[in-house]
Amino acid sequence: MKNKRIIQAYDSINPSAQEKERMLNAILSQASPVPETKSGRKTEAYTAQPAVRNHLTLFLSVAACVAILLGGGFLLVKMGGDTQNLAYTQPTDNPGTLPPTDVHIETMEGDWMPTATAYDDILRLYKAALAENWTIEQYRQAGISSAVVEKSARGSLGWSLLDINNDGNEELIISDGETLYDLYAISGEDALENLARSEGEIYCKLYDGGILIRQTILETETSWTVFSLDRDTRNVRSLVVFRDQTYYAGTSELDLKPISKDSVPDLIMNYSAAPLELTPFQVIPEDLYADKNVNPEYIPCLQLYETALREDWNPGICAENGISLMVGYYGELFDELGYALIDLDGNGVNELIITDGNYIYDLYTIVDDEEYGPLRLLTGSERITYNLMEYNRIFCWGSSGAAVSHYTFSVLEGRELRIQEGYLYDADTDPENPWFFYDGEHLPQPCGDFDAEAVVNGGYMSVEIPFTSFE
Amino acid sequence: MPSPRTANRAFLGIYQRQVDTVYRVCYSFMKNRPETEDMVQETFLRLLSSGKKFENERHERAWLIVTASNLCKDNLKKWWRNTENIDDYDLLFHDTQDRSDVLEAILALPNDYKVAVYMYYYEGFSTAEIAEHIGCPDATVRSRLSRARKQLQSLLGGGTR
Repeated sequence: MKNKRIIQAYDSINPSAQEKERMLNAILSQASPVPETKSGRKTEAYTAQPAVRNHLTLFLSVAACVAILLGGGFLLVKMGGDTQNLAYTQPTDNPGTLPPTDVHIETMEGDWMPTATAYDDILRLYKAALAENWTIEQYRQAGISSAVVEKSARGSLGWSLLDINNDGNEELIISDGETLYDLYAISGEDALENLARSEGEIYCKLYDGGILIRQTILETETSWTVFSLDRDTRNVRSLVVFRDQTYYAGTSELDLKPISKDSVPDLIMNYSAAPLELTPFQVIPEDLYADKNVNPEYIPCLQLYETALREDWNPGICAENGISLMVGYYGELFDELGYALIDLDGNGVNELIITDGNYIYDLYTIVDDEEYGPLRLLTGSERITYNLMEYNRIFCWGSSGAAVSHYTFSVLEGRELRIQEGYLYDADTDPENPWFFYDGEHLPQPCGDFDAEAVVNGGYMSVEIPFTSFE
Repeated sequence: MPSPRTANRAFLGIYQRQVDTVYRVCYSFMKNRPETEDMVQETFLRLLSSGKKFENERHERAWLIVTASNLCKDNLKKWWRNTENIDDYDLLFHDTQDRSDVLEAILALPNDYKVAVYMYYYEGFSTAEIAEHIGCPDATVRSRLSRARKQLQSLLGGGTR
């Protein structure tokens, strides 16, 4: 149904002819000549797991950087859209004078990766990994640091944003305050770059203004490289190598000199800690609800809804996690969904209602013999809705098609909702007399349109549920 | 840079037919013209990369509206926007002086409502069609429209029905 005022409002923002031409030229200049290949910048469709391929490539590049730092060569890594190439090129002209800081990572346009929310994909992967206790193989397949698996206290793992390489943009740091598990940067529009990762025999640590990478090669040689980042350039402060039972130090493989073991700590540990303020992945403390008279048994339930909203779960994920799929339609509308605590059955224990103030999306109660926490009594969906009525009665509307609907009024008794009265509209059974009445005990009986419609269309008024929003 | 003359004729046809629509949708999210232009480009680039075939012009329009709104919502979620004062965008682009009260009210709607409002009140799609295109139940579309109506009425003092 069109609306004149709204049409006029929208018409006031039409683009000018110059804007149209400018946009078209910009589109054509960015478009791939063969769009179906999906290989060009901005023409690649967003994929469900964009991080995997790119991050694997980036990991390889970081590993190669470490290797080249040790070798003192010049690295040029090019990453093609569909292929992963690591090219190590020994400089041909006077390699001895080449400074180790000339480590350079170059990304081809084909690697531009459209991301929905910059680092959100990475954070989501880590959250899922921690919540689901992923195996090392799962971490590797997802392209995030599998060293997290070996971490004994994963609860302290968190993330932080800090401008490490002084490019004016904040990088994403995954750390426990000690180990640097992953470091990501936005290297261009929508492109993520992994700058460091602890994995396997590689250990990374973040210093104030620098990064330490320790790598063990074939159990016979270990190297420590401390470097700072200036945009995409690595400035090596010190390189220590332990090989043949001797420690060597320098700034590149080419100027290594033997040193005593005692001087090693000064070279690789004499740096202050990075000023990290980590946001833990488990972000909802239980005491958030302590001053709101929430029964502790309900707290895990509430945390689940908090997580669903914060991570913008879709209806399918909500249903898979045992909460009303309707929560998946709230997305960013945090303040419109919340919870209420009402003692519906008068037993002195509040029931937990997930609501928007009108509909009941989920209803929980606590029963003594429930082994797994609160018992969910009902869950709303598109075709089954619940409202709270006067005297704590619960009204349910359900539909299984245009010809069949039901309307019931129930009360909570113990761990069950007992139907007190119900109306069934079943035109499939009897198109002439589609309304049936159900008293909760006997079989539904035909009843007149007048009685049923009077009830269904306003005979009872739902009450507004005062709720505490999740925001 | 390829000339428009050498570009795919079908794409140019779609662009000419739908650029106004896509622009209006993007503007309702981004609220300033420079970022709107960026998102319009993103939307048509997405069309190019998708190789999408449309059943008719109405399908084509609906797909572009939904795609544009999704891209805008994604863009608005980017982390760097959360670290900046979004109000600065308006100040920066001096883009507010020509807006009517109704447009301001539309721009103030929650993002989840905007695409439903545009498709229903501007384009004349039914709630069932909107639901199909944005992939949610009809009841949700009606709920969003209802809430949007209430918000518009409270901002404008009625008269948007």
